[in-house]
Amino acid sequence: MTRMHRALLGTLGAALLLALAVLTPSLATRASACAFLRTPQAYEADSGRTAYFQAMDAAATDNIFPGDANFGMPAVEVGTRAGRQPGLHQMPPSLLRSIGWVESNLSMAARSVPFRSTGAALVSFDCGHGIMQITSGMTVPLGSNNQPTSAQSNIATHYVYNIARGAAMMAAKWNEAPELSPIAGTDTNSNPTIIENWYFALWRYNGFTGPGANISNHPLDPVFSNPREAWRCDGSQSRTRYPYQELIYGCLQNPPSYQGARLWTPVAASLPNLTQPQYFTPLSVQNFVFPYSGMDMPTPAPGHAEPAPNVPADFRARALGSPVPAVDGPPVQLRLDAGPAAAKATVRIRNGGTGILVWSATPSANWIVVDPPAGVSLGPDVPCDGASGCSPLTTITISMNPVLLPNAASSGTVTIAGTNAAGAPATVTVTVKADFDTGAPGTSRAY
Amino acid sequence: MAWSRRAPFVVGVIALIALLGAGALVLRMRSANTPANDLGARLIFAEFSTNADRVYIAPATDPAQRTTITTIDHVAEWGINPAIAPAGTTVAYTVLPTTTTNPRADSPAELWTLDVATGAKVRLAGDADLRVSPVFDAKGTQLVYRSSASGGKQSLIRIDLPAGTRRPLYEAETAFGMFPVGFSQGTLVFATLSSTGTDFFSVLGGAPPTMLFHASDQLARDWRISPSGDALAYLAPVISAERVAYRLHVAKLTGGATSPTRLGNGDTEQYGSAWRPNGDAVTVGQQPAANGYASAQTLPVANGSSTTLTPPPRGFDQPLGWSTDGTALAARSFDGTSSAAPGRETTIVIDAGQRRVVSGSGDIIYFGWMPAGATNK
Repeated sequence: MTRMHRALLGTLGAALLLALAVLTPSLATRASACAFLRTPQAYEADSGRTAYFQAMDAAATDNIFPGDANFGMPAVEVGTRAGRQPGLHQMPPSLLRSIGWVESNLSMAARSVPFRSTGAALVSFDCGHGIMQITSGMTVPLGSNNQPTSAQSNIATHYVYNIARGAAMMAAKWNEAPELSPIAGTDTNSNPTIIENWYFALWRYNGFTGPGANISNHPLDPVFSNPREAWRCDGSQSRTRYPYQELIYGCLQNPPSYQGARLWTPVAASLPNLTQPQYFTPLSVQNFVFPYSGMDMPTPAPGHAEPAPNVPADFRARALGSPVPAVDGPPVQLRLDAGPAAAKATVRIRNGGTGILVWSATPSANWIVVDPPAGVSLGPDVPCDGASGCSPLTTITISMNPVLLPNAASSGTVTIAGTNAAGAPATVTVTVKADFDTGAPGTSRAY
Repeated sequence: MAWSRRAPFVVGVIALIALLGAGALVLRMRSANTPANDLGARLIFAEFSTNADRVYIAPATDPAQRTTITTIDHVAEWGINPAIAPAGTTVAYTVLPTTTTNPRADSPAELWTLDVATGAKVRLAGDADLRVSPVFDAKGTQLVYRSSASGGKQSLIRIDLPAGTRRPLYEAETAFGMFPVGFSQGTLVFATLSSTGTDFFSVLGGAPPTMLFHASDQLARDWRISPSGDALAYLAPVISAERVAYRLHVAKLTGGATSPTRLGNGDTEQYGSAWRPNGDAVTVGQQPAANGYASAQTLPVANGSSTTLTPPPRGFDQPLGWSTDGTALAARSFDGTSSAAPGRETTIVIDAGQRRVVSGSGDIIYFGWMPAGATNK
């Protein structure tokens, strides 16, 4: 090879590196993907949200992950400020339905993803994930080597985990009383089966700030028109005019519809009657002082107790299944000197078992790019509407970030693990051949 | 056929007549298309829908004869929030832009003006608080809005509209909030909320604010400055052993120290507050009695007797604002029994003893009234 040929080859290689660096998804996407480098993939269930509602019934009664630190429903405290003690692991499931609607329109995936199908997970700008828009613990990767944990993957992609986490968080908001927030239900022993007693926990779920703050949910805040009609939950009213907790109680009573059918049966609920001193006085601005002990109030009347739903004994087994990860495809070989098609490869991930397999794909080196970094593969028992493009398999793309290549000939691995499945993870070997020399990471040396 | 010497003259006359006729026809058609121009008091309002609010103008005598001014896109489910009142033909509003991801009440809102006469919109700021209504000064040359930063810092920012400049009038760290209310004698009046209740202040650019008066130990609401700027009306709760009722209070803003006075007898709830255009009285709604309905009431500030407006068949009214000529009142009307059970809400215009519904499939958002004689787009 002549000096001129080497120079020409080096120049071409450098140009290819530059092109790939530009075309490869930027690391800047981390800021918008929160716990994940890139948006993971999630499963969207049926349009009637039946699967979600069943999961909410089970999560609200701690029938899915009892005792689990992330997904188990803690004991919900009962009693007045002076006599608070642990109670049942239970909350009204109807509240979860309404929260899910207000937060995400009961969607696990992006709006473009059809029902009974898989696609980009719903991730908001502030890292709210999925149906319950879980933000806490989802803003940065919490695993080793700056990777997401199994819990983060499950919350982002699998509705059962997302709903269970949301229920656990609501219970945690409730349990912040009396130390950090007021109690509703001073006359009903703060019974958590009474829907109205969740007034302050709901308020806290969206921001417990004083009247006048820009995210105020204080019902007497002058920014809210008074009187105001109840929230109808039908898209004809502006959220600008309502505190968060009134949206939740409004949707409870006025269920949203999909294709003309109500998503649930209306549930009666009362708001505090602010013309009565027993409710107005606790909400008086003088009482908005930490730890808010003066804000404790009776149950908004009439209170409505919601009985525990009947959760089938086999719900957990059916909802979670027994997923088994399986990876199809030979070792991955990437080339930088044979055009863009040769610079990436695909690998298929199957679920050899049942239920929804959640997997995460973790590269061994930072020059290996995996997209999506986590997702789901469906077992044969999970509805998957092929007519709308659903495939039970998942195809991931493995490529490279050329500016981070340590050597012209490099190798690494992608570990694909089921985050909700037993069994050893699969390892995909990735080799790359760049037919030119490279220098230190981030540079290339042309001849 | 030969042309006579008169022929060009005849053709010219015919052409002129045709031109005049066509012009008259166009004018007539245009008039028919914009009936709002010739029908006295005209209401400016918007109708909310999920992704955009449509702004209309309509005559008080027939709100159904609405003319579209413009459409304002917004992020899904979060509608616009208008200024307390228009300035001439210009209205202002805050809005969450369509590009807002994960919209929340504290997402930065944009501040815009809309000239109803031309349909022209101008974006003024991108850091406004959505839920806090901006206010114009009397001349319509200044607009004040609120902006919040992390950590509880709030700013009242004045925009000089002709110059296109902006600067903070007042900034404070607060756990609660402060709200621009309006202008009096060229100074901004604003309300502050704190654990001691509601206070009103005035501030001139660069100087520390001056406290005007303590309005309530509670959260006051529905504050409106009189047309001349010399008095302030607001509602504040009056608490008795068995009930709480918001009642109308009025305070002078000129002539030194002031203390608010309550207007109206009784202890039932009052709703809204709308100054009569001449500033001599305030109209409020009131809670229905046993018969199930109550008319709005106009209460004189000084001397005179109160008057009542045409009542609803059921429920009560919450006045929003009088037309500039004082012939029509816009109000929200509820068919329930009180603020605790308000029932269904509609927006209405009370004009010449008639109650006319401003219909819409979504929320009706009240902007105000067109000045008498002004034309619209």
